[in-house]
Amino acid sequence: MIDQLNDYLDSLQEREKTEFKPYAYYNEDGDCFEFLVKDVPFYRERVDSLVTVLRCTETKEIIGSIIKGIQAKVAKILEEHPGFAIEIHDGKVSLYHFFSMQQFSTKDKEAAQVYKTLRTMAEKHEDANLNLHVSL
Amino acid sequence: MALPKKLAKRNGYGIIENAIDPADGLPWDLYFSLKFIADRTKYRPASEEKIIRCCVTHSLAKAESIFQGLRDGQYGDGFCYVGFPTSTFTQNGIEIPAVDGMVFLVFVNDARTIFDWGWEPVDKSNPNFPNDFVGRFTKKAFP
Repeated sequence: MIDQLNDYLDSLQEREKTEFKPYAYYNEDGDCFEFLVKDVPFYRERVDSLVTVLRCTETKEIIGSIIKGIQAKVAKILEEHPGFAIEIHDGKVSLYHFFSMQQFSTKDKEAAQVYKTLRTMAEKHEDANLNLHVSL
Repeated sequence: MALPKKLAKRNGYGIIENAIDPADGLPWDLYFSLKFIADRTKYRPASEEKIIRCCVTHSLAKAESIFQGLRDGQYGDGFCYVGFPTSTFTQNGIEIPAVDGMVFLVFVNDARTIFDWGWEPVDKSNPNFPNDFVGRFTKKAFP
């Protein structure tokens, strides 16, 4: 009944094995962006309507995030802060700047702290600090 | 108006055939993106593949409840399937018991395509539903 999915997962087994490294990618169907720096069991914790953090099940430390509604959010940032445009290069913008904008604009102290943690992570893990593909 | 049970083939997508249709509890089709599944499993193949095979499929086919109308993001009338798989997997793909106080969620957009999933804490007021279910979803569509 779920053969298509299982068959597809079976076919992926033939891929070359890749060691874990911090990663980030854009998910078109969800218009969301996933960012993960540690390969451990984790759970999700919603911060607000934009960001869900990923926390290590054992230690509760933040190890990544999912950002939702990227295209609309970036369009709104550009409308309110036109100077943000100079941080966009070839349709891409650093996660560091994105988290900074969120940290500075939220009124919720707990959310600001989470955004600060994510900003630091994005700065530290440059490999994972891939960019948001932004339509301008 | 009830939506069709079967979906047409779509380039770049596969079909999951036995998800619960929130309208009547019978099976209906959902899409999954080949690229998304490949991306999600690339760096965490041992755990993520098993989570998809077990937790995602369990939650779609045996959902305890389904919410409709996702207020986060731009997903409009999409769905959130809520399941309680009894196990999950370590980074090495070893099966371990599910953590108490967690539900497994699978998100589906308004094009009936799954686009996200994962464990989340239950709501403090109702352990059958995810945290802040009142604020996040427009309505409960199933049962």
